[in-house]
Amino acid sequence: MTAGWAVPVPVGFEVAGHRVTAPLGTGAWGSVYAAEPVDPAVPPDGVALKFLPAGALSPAQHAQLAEVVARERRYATRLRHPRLIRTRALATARDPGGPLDGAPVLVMDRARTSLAELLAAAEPGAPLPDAGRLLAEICEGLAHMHGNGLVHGDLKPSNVLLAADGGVRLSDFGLTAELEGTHAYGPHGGTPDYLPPEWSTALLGARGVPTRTTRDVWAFGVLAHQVLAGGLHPFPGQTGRARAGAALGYAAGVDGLRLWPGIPAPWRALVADCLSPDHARRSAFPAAELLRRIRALDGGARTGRRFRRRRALDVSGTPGGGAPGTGRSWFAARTSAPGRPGVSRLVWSVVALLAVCALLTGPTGEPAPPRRLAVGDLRPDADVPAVYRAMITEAAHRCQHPDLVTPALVAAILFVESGFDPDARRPNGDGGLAMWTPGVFNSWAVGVRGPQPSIFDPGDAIAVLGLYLCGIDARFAHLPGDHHPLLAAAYEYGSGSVLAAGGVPEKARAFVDRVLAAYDRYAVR
Amino acid sequence: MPDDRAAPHTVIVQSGEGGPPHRIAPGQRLTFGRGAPGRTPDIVLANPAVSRLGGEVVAREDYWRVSNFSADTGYVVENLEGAGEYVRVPPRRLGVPVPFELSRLVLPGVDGRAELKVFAPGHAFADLPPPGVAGEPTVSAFALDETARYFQVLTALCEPRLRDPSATRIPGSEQIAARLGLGASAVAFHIGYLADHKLRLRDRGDSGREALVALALRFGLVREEHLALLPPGNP
Repeated sequence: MTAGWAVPVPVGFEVAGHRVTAPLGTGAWGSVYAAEPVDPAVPPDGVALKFLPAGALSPAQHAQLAEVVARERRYATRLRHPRLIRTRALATARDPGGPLDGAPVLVMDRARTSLAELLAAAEPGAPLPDAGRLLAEICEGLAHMHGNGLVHGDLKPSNVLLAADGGVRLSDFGLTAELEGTHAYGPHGGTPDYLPPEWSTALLGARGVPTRTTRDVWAFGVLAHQVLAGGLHPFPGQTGRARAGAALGYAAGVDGLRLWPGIPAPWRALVADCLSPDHARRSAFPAAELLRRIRALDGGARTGRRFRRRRALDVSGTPGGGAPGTGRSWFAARTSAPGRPGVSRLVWSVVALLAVCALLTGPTGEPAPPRRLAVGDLRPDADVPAVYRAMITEAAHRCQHPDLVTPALVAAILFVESGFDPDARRPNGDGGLAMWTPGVFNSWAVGVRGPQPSIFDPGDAIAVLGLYLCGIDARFAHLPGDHHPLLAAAYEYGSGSVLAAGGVPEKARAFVDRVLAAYDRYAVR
Repeated sequence: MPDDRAAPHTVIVQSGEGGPPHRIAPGQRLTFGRGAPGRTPDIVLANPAVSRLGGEVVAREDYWRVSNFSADTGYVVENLEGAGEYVRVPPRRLGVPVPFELSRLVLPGVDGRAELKVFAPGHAFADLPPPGVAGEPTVSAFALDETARYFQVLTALCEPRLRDPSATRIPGSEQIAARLGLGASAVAFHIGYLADHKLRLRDRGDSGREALVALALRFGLVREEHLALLPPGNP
């Protein structure tokens, strides 16, 4: 169903060695389709095709089109960064006599979903799972663009794509502009909800309205609020126009900024800085600086997220649980254990303490260093069942030791333990995807998963495995060398045996070697 | 005087008695009236028939509301685009929403009438989004009403260049007035509205005409098909 799309393309249309298989989505300027290689000998390569209009447009669109197409083509191939969507090739559609003839086509990596879809499905008021990581990665992309003299110009949830590994990929460079000094002049346009207040009243020069990096920073502030508050917009109103009006009123000093109270104070301060009312004040917060702050705060978000399930349970029995007064966020629970119905103060305190100890503190008791781009991510061609990939990646990325607890390590342990069989069992009662020993599992699963976590639930088994690996490493802080073998040995034979041996115990050697071999097959180098 | 045209605002109020325009953002209000000792409204209308505190204008989103604080006098908001459209504001009526982009708020007075001109240049027009497409629509910065009189004036300004790209002549107000059958002062008003409030030209030059034509053509605001909006015949 592509009626009304910017560029309708029939399924089966071939371009650049690929055949269109399904429509994915459309914007005002182009439409995106899933595609697969035409040659059956070539394996599916996870490609999306973005078609830009060839011509025959309504007059109102005509004026901006040439510029948008030119920008998209120019920046799509020039921008190379792990947080920006990769354009593999540029092509031109051949459709002699047909409407698509001459349409520019971008051959891009296909994303799994977009932030817009995550926000649409989010529980209003509650942060998205992995909120801190998402924001850090979005900010990484922005900082890279700004550092290279570019303004994205149209940052919004539907342009924040999530790849198969869950990583952020910024997309849509149709409004991207190149800075000349401190200004750029882009095509005129934008999305009201994400435009800074000064945009609508900026004075027009002969070349239009200047675009500055602070435009992206404002958009990031709006987006960050939505990520931290389950999609809620920072300005009140039921329509984009109303919210844009409220933002203008705020910029004029009519109203203060009233951000969702469930967002913890340091994150609220970050959002408020991004939403500084004018360019001058906002320019004190460049993307690179925001990124440093987010990475420093990210530990808090990671800790907080494990309260989420409990909170959802609480709220389900509490009418109006999402309202500011009653729906005290999970973030708040981290520092103040609220006496909420159904959960005792003690449990909350213990859970909070455990989580903080397990995730926030490194060997020295200092907050763990910020997570860098992990090299141990799962290779796309790794022989790991697709159904578990997202769970594995999420479990690993929750940890504050990005070099250590990687998706590849988690996957390698699962492979050696059960061969990815969720129903595997041993006579002694161990079982499931991670071959957990029930007693050990239960002690690590406290407060992490639902009310009755099960070793036979793949999601529970993987999540708790990630938590275990992340937490147990603190005991090995004094041991030199690569900790991957230590973690694998500890998982199978207990951390006590590792400590007693001062390294990998002899009995664990075979097991550890198998894990490391699997790791080599799975890990991105 | 500092150029406050870039200050956040959606509504501009200009007193019929002159003075600089007032710009207000959503949620901000301007009171008007004759005033009394110790009680000076934001806009003073020195007409004995106007109440001391006659009413107020409040900006909302991209439109505005008007309240009538008078106990016995009704006001009228006229659409400056003509066509005789108007909104009545009975005595003591609060918060009447006004849908016009260019309005004149008329208060009956002794020896004629008192009036305020109120502009809401931020009215939005969709960029013809594909129907049924989810997601946030992209809006253009240039919210031009192609059915408005000011757009006709802009088209007439660009007409020579649209018909002959090498033309350098830009018609003057009198020529446009004759071409469109308007008064010269109406044409001057619309050019001023476009340059100062609607498109907020940074450097409007003498009359703003050259800068308006350059901007309109550069960004494709006025195109060949718009020539159909002009009366038949050549300039």
